[in-house]
Amino acid sequence: MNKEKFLIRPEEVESFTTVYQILDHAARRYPDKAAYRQLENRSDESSVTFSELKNDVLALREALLERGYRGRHVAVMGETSYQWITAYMALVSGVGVCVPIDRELQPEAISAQLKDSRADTVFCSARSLKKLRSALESCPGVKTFVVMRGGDENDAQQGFLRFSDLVEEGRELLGGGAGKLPPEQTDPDETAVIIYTSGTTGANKGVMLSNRNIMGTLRGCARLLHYPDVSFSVLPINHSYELHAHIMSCMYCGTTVCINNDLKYLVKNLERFRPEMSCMVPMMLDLIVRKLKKQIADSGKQKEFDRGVKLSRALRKVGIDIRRRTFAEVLRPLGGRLRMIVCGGAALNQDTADFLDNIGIEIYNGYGITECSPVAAVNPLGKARRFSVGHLLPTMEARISDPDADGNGEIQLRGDNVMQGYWNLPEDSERVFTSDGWFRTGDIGHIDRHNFLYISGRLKNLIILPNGKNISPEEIEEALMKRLPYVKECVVYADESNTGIYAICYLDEDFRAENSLTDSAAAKKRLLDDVSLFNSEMPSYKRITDVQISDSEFEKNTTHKIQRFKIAAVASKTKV
Amino acid sequence: MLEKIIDILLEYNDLPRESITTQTRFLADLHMNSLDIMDMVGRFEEAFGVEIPTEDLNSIFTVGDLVAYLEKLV
Repeated sequence: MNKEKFLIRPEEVESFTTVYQILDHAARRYPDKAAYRQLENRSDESSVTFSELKNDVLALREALLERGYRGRHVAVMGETSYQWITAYMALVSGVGVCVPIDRELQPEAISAQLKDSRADTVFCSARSLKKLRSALESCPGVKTFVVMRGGDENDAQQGFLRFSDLVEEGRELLGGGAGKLPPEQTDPDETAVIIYTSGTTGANKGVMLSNRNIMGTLRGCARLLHYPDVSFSVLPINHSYELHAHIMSCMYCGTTVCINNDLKYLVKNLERFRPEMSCMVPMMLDLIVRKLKKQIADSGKQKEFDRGVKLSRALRKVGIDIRRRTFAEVLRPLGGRLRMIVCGGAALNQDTADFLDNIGIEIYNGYGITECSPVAAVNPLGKARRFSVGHLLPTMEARISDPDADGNGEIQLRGDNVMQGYWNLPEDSERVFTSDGWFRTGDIGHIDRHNFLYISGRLKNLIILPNGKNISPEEIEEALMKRLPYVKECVVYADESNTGIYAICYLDEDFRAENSLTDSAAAKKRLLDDVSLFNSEMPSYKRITDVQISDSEFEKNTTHKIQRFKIAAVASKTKV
Repeated sequence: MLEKIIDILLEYNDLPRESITTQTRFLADLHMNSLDIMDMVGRFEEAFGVEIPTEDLNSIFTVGDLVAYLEKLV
């Protein structure tokens, strides 16, 4: 592949302030290249070029404008698809406000977000219609439905609009002309999206983003990363990380995005689409690594593999990289071309990252928060630093508030990518910004002299003891799991008066079986004994008062993060 | 069918074959996470030529549940 062909010239895109500008840029520069490839059933796939994408976006926005959608809030719910992306781009290009809804949510949560956002129309895939119907029972404000894909002739009878009909309607309206409100006139500072936070630390809030905010992230990513020829989309599209940092950013470089149709087929589709890149969360990398390790062991080539790793490591030190050639067979089940994965959303296991790096897949760890559209830092191409979550985006400023002796304090950010505020929550919006306009991320960390960011905990989870001491629960959780490897998952929390620290733990089931700890009381006694020893090594204010045993893994959100606030809330109620 | 299911389950762990029975639980005994389970379902679909909707997984907790479910489907 000619890398230069896909390199971004920053000056070319530096002035862009709207999503439509990059769509227009991609359609002009890569008109006949496939923008998206998606599976229509188990074997047939379809694709659209960048120029077709632009034409469909323009047609859909014209139809929506004609139907009076200017300024209205429209929800989009469903699996990742060309239709989802087209609806999003049409809405944010001067039509109204797009509200992405997580299709994995329970109907009550979907209903709450539809009501809160005041969406009156939902673009929905046929696969999500059943769940949407249950959610709508308490949403009288939603009047119109557009079936994006997978619909049939019954849709019209039920009063549903069809995506393809709307696009056709828009084409006729345009008739080759510019339409009634050219997309070039889109106001970059008007709210374009309301994305609900996934709520790992509290109730969901609608984050308001403008085109300028989104472009802050896109321009910043473009300066640090270069997206290759073909990428693979596996994360839920309603998350800002996948939507902006991946799918929208790929347009800059004319990267074809191949869409995974179901997590069930993740590995199979990697083999099918043969991507060079993907954006994933750590749990996906763990799955891939486990599968590859098993495949190596089953093939009887473990020793050969270990020798290959040693040799390639030694050669890399003198500037010779033989990884892709040496491990071509190992890489084949992933399509054989995968060479970079941007990883975010949770802490990444360094062993997983090292394994992938050893076989020639570079991992680019990043840091983001929905309120920053979402990327704040990412490890740049060829300059990734271990343990860092990346270089701060060149499009933003960062500062550490009230740093401790090690330089760690709250990370505060300012720049184009920082949100406008929380929808309908003026007090929360005010609280999350400092008086001089910096966004409080709620994360604790430090920045080195080369502008690389390191995270050490979350301020939002901080336990502030009556004696004024601050405790990061993540720090205790990490220390406990390191000291007691049989603790597989752990959430540390405080009681209501913040006078005691408690832990709820999910233990390794093998360990329980092998040590006659299948009975919860016996398991708790063993854990308490070990926690006593652990406590003796900790400062007195960081000692755990009591423990609870969870018999199952903790509930996680759709990006596989432990929903700590829910677990802590339940645990504190059931604490004896 | 059970044997074929166990073959696939062994791709996800290093447990001895004889330790997997119809009573074996996916989460507690096989230590599978949500993504492992999704991946495993894809493998079962391929092996048995069926389609398993994600929502059906809500009532499958043990290997025995899976055998009964697949027997109905195949």
